[in-house]
Amino acid sequence: MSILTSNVSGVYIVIPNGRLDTNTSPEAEALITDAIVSGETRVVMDFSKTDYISSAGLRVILKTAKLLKPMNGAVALCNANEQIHEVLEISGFLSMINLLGSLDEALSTINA
Amino acid sequence: MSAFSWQFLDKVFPPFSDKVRREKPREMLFIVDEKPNRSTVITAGVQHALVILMVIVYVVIAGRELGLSDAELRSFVSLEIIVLGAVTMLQGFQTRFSSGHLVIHTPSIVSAGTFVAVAASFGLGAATGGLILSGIIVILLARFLPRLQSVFPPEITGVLLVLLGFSLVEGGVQRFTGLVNSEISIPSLLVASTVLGSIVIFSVWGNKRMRVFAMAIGIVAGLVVATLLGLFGREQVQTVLEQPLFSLPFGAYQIPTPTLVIAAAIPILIIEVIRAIDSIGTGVAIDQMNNSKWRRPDMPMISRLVTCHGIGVLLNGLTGTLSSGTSSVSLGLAHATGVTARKVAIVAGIVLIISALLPQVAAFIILIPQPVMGAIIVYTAAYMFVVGSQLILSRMINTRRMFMIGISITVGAAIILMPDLTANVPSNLKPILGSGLTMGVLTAILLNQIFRIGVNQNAEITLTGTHASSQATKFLEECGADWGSRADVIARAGVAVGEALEALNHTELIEGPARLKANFDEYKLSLSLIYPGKSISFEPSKKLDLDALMNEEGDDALDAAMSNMSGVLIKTLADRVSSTEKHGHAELKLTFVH
Repeated sequence: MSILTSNVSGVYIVIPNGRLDTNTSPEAEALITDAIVSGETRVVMDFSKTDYISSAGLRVILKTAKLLKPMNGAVALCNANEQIHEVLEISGFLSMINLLGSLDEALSTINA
Repeated sequence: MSAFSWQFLDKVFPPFSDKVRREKPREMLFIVDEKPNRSTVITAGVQHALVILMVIVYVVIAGRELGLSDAELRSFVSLEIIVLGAVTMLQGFQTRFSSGHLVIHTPSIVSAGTFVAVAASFGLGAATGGLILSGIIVILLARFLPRLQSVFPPEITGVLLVLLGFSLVEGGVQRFTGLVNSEISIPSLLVASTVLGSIVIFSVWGNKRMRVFAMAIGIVAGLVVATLLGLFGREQVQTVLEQPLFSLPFGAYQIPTPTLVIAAAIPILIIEVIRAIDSIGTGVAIDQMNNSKWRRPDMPMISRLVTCHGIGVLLNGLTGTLSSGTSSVSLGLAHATGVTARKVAIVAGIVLIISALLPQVAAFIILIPQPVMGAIIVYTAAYMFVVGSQLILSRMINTRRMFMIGISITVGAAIILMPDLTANVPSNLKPILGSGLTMGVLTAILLNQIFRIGVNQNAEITLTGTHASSQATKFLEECGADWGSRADVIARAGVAVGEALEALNHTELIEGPARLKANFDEYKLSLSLIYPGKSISFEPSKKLDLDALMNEEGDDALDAAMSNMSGVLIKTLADRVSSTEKHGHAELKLTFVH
């Protein structure tokens, strides 16, 4: 799996490619942790290229939110397919973390 | 009746029983056996009856195609409404012949084309004879029809609906545009555009209730414009007012004497069996609407619902009216109102029967101007294209299904678009060979059976290495495409198996490569994950307190929460989960309702 990252208007964007599971989440977690340690406070996880997320992937999202909390930072998710949406819903994440339909919406929500 | 007769009756039509434990969904106000107050029951019942009266225009269209006079048409329409009312009432009662649910019956636009074509070739008697035979067969097969779903999967219904859309285009556009001798009528175009525009506006931007009544609103808007343009007015109102206040719907329309003509009965029987199988979908939907803990269909109830559907078709045959079936629009209304109490069906049935005894109602419906009808037909054709395509794409597509769907639509469309193709077919075979709908569906059924040859409904794979989870997903997707499974069920199964593999690795209960066995029938997808090691047990689901987790020091609480999350996901995604262990090997069984 390759994880694409970029920075748009001060927002750190992570685009996991393929599956975000027990094999790939350590790489995603390390990238995001490094970025937050380097001073990033707003993170968007864009699932436009992600097919699947497991509980290991959910852990990455929760860890990101936890790291950003003391810094008054924020995390948002976008472009989830039906399965990812269902997993986020079952896990109860949607009550705590914003899931938006597009990257533009996620950027404007996190910048608001 | 003798004891033997009762035993036989109990065997063929088991007595009513309802053992389902229901939990009322949050959005519903009154479910099946609840007793709403009288005004709620009456209001909901009248609304359902109005929705059905709205679609009676289809009966008028079919009646006009049959060449009935205005007086005959009034009788024809009233008789149809009486049958709809009687069967709807029956559905509301708890009998061995009915569902005991809010299931509303509506005239079937799907059957209308075949009915009219058969009547044109063999006379109305042959068409009604075909309906009587179909009704009896559906009643007798009601208990077994759900098992025939593999012969008539949703994509065959999809092909039927797409071809129905094609068959409606010509008549719809002709009425919409008022096309005569290559001349388009501007007033017709204005009236029809108003109707279609209103239906679209209220369907797209209206609230839930407006959406249900979009067609009625469109008809009223069209009548206003038709009145302003002089296409509808005093003459029509006078005709309505001339009708007596009350009369029995017999007399003008001579109920045809049924005759059994095999060539006429076959196309009707094919369409009616497919529609009876479709009504299983109505049963599943109403069952789900009544129970937030719904897991699997209540098959005894669905069999009784199909029996009642067959009784409706039989009554249509006996009264010489257009075939009827269960209404999916009414399901939308039931959800919008939040009332699925069965008493509403009884009231809706009574309201329909009363309205059939008021000749002014039928007289008004049949005087609706042609451009208004044209707009409704065009709307229906568009709707059929979309619903048919959705049904076709609800199942996973592989090369076999691609050819089955593509070839059958091409066969049907060729017959509809190129009438010369079947111009020289003997007249007794015309209803079959000359009907794009029948030929397209027959091609689909035949190809579906041919392409099932060599497809094994059991499959197995050994999962190895660190990418076992993605290997399992790919395997399930390939199986799903071969079996024509629902894409969402396969996707859910893939997520659950992936999660199970992660949980097994995380807890170190697995000591070697796992085998994944899959078995599919139309009702369920059963998976077995067999591996050397110990069985896994999932702790009772705990509600995750995400806010508390945010404040915990370190990652231990996070890891524990995510470990519990695997069980939550698997138990929610799968409909049944069980785990066993024997001689050093464990088996995790996951079942998904299909």
